[in-house]
Amino acid sequence: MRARDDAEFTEFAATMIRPLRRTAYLMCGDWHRAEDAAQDALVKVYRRWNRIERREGVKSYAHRAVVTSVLDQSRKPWRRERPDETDEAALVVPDIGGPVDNRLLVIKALAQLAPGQRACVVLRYYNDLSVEETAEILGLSQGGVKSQTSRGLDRLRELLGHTERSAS
Amino acid sequence: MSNDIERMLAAAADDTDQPLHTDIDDILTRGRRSVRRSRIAIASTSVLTTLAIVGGLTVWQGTLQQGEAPAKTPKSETITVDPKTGRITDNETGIQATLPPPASPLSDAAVLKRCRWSDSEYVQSNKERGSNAYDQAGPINAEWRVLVKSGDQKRLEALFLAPDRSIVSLCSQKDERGEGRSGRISTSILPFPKAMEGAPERRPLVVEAGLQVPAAGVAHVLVSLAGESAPRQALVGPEGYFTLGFPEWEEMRKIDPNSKAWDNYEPTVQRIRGYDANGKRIYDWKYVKVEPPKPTPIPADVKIKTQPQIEPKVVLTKDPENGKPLAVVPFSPLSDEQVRAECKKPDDSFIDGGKGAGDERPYDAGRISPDWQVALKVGSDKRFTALLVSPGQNVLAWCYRAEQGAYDYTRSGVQTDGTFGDPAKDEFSMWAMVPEGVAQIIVDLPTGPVRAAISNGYYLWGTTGGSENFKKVRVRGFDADAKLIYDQKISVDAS
Repeated sequence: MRARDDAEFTEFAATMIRPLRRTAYLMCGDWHRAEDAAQDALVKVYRRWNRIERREGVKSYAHRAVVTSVLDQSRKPWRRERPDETDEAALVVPDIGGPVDNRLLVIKALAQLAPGQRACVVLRYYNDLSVEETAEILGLSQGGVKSQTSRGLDRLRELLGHTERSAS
Repeated sequence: MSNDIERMLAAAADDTDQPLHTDIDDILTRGRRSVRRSRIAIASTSVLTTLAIVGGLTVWQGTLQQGEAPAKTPKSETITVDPKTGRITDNETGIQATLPPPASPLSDAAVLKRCRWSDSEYVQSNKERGSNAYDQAGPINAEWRVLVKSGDQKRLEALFLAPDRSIVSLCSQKDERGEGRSGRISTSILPFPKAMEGAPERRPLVVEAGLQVPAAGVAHVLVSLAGESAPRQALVGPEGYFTLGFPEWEEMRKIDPNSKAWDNYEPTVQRIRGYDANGKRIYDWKYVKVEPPKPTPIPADVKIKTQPQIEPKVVLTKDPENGKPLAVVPFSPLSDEQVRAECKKPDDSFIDGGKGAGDERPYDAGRISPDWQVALKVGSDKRFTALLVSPGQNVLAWCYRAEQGAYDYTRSGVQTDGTFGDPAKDEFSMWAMVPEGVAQIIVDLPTGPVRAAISNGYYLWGTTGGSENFKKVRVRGFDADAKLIYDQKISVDAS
């Protein structure tokens, strides 16, 4: 890429690294992995910077890349998903109290969703993407997104209700 | 409930107490490395392109005739294989070749599993780009044949052959994380539309890429790398496919480590030889650099001819065609001195990068100095674009500074007619010269019509040349009386 492309990409990466990391964190429940996934996603974006339609297109591609990176990480044998484990770093964050507990409960609940359901819920209800956009990012039909989101939401409600009761 | 979910997700993802450890420059570095690797090592034509860039062409010395009488083979065209150790001595030089890379201990299924992801990503990338349409073999699967595999538990270098034999998929991984390269190369497509001068033989892409020796009965392959006295013995698979294992070298290397010249590169692989089971050479390829033809230089005394500035009697504030208000491209508040100081940074990199093979005037104009004229500057004090003209009035520098302090920069030498060409015919324009008789210019951007900034015979329609969302824009020029006298579509820099 030329210097100007680099400048534009730098601007984009600086803007997107945190949102991508947050999306990845909801997907994997581990800030370190989330940051790795966001980095990987941005490298992928860089590789295709000149081939992606900018504005909406590049963000969409970045989201797809970060979701793919998280799912790909989880497929690697030394990074199998462990739904019952939460981010150790997050657990030791001091002096934040209640909000941390609630946050971890949500992360734990998300971790127990099937990856596809989790991705749909995160992209739809955290990233505020449309059914069409989510379908494109995940390579699913719109009907598939709707059904996975619905099941994911139901399961999340069930888990959060259950865990909230358990915690109380 | 959905709102509650949204709130909970937002709270859970709150990262205010999570410091960011990422350095964006590291991502840039990884990205550049990745692009470089994929460009050089992966794309089916990339090897050729790279060679063309450095001005070199490979010359295949030809597959020697099969069936020649063995007795007539000179010893220098043979190798000696030690029956005990398997080590090869190159009888041309008497030097013993280095050992071949180890065969991978992984099963074919394990190799396939590791390579599947990167291969499918490559297929997807090609699909998105619409490139390599000849590749219809689909992603690798269990029906693909593993031709050769080298490495250990971590590193892996493998070649797969498609069931229809049309494509070879290359998988090269530094570790289990999959970092490395992958690519897919045609076994039959020939490079170049026709034989190029200096390239008497057109070889299939897979041969050009140095993955196969195209001679029947190849049992041993020696590869000579630049800077190494002993040839390397390759791990040879069926049909002449071979590998040296995970590459520890760059595909292109500097000829002179201290030179920054654009053509100071050569392929690291300098020679590939194939031998039959009897040790007789049956294939010999050498890299031979071919000097590109030199373009006819434009004399340094040709000067830029700009049109004199014409003051409009009435300044247009609305589009005369539809009454839409015109956006205005602001002039930068920076002083000329500040612009020169800012643009000197990328300019120094430009000069230090060394001369190209083409027009030398942009380099001969020297570094930006107080003698350079700031012909036009638009934008703000932090993000701006400026056009600077050399003291010799024959070179123009385009300088863009982003808010973060990153730059884009280029120089152009004026053509023999005193202009920089017709923007309507150019492929990319980031600026243009004001046409004759034109006092005001309207550029139709997708965001609406813009009154271009004009100064010293040049105009700009924004701080960057274009956008990824549009490639052509309509440009209208009006005389002093606001009469339309120029109406063209120009191709803007949309990269």
